[in-house]
Amino acid sequence: MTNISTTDHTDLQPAPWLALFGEGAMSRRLFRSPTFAVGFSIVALLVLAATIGVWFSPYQPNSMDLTARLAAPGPQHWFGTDNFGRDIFTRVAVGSQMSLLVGLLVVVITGIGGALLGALAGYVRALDNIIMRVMDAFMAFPAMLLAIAITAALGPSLMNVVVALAVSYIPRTARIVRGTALVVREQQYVEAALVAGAHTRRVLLVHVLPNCLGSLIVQLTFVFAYAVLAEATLSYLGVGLPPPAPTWGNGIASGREYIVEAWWMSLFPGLAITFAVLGFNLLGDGLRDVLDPHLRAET
Amino acid sequence: MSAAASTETVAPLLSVEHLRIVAAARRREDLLVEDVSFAVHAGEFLGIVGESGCGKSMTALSMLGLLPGPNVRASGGRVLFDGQDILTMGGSSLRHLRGNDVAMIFQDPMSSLNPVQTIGEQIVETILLHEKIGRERAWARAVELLAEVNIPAAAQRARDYPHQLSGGMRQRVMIAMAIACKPRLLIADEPTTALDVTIQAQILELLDRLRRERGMAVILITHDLGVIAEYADRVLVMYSGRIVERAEVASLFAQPLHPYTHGLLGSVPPLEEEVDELVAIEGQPPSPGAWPSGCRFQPRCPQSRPECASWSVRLIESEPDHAAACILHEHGETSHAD
Repeated sequence: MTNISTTDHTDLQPAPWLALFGEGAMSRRLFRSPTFAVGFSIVALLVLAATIGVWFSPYQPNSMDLTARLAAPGPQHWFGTDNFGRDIFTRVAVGSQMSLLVGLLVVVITGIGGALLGALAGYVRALDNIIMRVMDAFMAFPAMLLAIAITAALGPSLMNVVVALAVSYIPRTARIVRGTALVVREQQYVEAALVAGAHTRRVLLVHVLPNCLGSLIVQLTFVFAYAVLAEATLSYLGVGLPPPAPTWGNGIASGREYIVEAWWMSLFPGLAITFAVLGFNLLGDGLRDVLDPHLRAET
Repeated sequence: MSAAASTETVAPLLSVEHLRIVAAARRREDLLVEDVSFAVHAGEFLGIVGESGCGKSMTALSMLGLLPGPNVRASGGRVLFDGQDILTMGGSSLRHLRGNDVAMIFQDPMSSLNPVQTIGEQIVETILLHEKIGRERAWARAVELLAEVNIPAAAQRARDYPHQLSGGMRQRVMIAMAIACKPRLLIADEPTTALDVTIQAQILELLDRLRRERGMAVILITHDLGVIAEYADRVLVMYSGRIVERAEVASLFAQPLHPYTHGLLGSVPPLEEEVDELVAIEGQPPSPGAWPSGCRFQPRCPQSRPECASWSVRLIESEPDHAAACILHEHGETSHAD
């Protein structure tokens, strides 16, 4: 009677994620999905812009050229200049470093925190209620409001923005991992590990967590997109990275006053945000199509 | 059908005494297993037969201290392994017991291996849980074990992921994992139900060989009487949480004492002779909580009498090593009306 047939659940296992790095079967299937291919290209382009793109520009992000204030986009300044004569292309490229850095740090912290809390809640039944009610409390606040409150309290700095965003996204991620862990814990290999004399901690780390990674990876690509958008929003509102640092958010904010004479000041950082969010969302959709077997049938 | 024929003088490896398991749900307690007692000796092959829901899997889990408590728990009796009561063991002695002394394999080999680890790594994990040896030596042991359970090209197969193996192969891997730390008792809970017939025979043959070579006791839980006839030394027949018949395998098949066993045997097609119609047992087994009073088989029993409902059920030994829990044997009658 304990051996409730678990075969019905086996297709839920997001197990094949490992093959991503294996013989290539998975990556070939990924790139056959146009969604994933487009998303991947956009993200790759962003990473290129953040790393190599900066070298293409002859300007420093903070060097002012008052003779070329509010210059329109042209061969000299591809994206034009702002009210201090700073090159907007350079500022957007350097800004992408900031955005990607924030996104990456948020994803890493959210991933570790969400995975541990979620797996713990899903596997150790006694902790489920405690952990998830605390998560619910955090989720009761809109993510953005919570992030604003935290950065406002801690003061604007890169690490504080990262902490604020991670705290906002960990509950959602934990919830998803918990759901997967609830399925995985009923798998017979978990019972088999216990039968072999494994400790709870071991079962959690060796069996439960790795089998939750599929859904976690998908969720984290979306977290990346949210984090980029949220970082821009915080910067725009003035609670993100403080102004001299070139970010997309404060680029839009400083262009607001000049929107009539110099539309390019806000437009290009805005486009960058749009692209980044679109790219990571497409990437996540593509990954989900391949990693989530429920959608696989239709694709 | 050899080894443990006359080992009564030796203390049994495992003895279950008056085991009682209950499931608690919302202020009511349902009995799942009641007054189950039996013993297993080293090197013995014991079969437990019964329909689904008769408590055989719960009994098996209790031998590993793995009842899914706190709702399902043993509320009485003892499960003694080497004289120590498993039901009262603490966490660390239980973990030592599991794998080291008692191992278990499951019904569905498709889901009993971790899909994100190679089978070699999984066996290594199990070995390292109980033995402090280097990873390299553990890997070599894993390959040896895979070869021992007849997996061809074991060294290469060890690097395969579970999805690259067939069901039969996976069950072999499970067995290799189970015997990795030389347990003295292996519990096989319907190990062949999910496999096709030719593979079934190979797996059972393998279990029997390992039992002989390693002197390991095997408890085979199944609903397949044919399997029992082939491999088991002794048989327990369970119905609705109780043992209804306990016998040497030969005498069970020659002369089943309990009407339920009789019914079970009648519903299996014999190979030697033509049978026009198989006799099914009427009705469904009652679910826990809805068990009738007295003998629980009485509503379905072709030989039931009014007094069955009030009979205090107990195993009655009518021959040496052959006992049945039926009122018909109270005065030495046999259950064969025909």
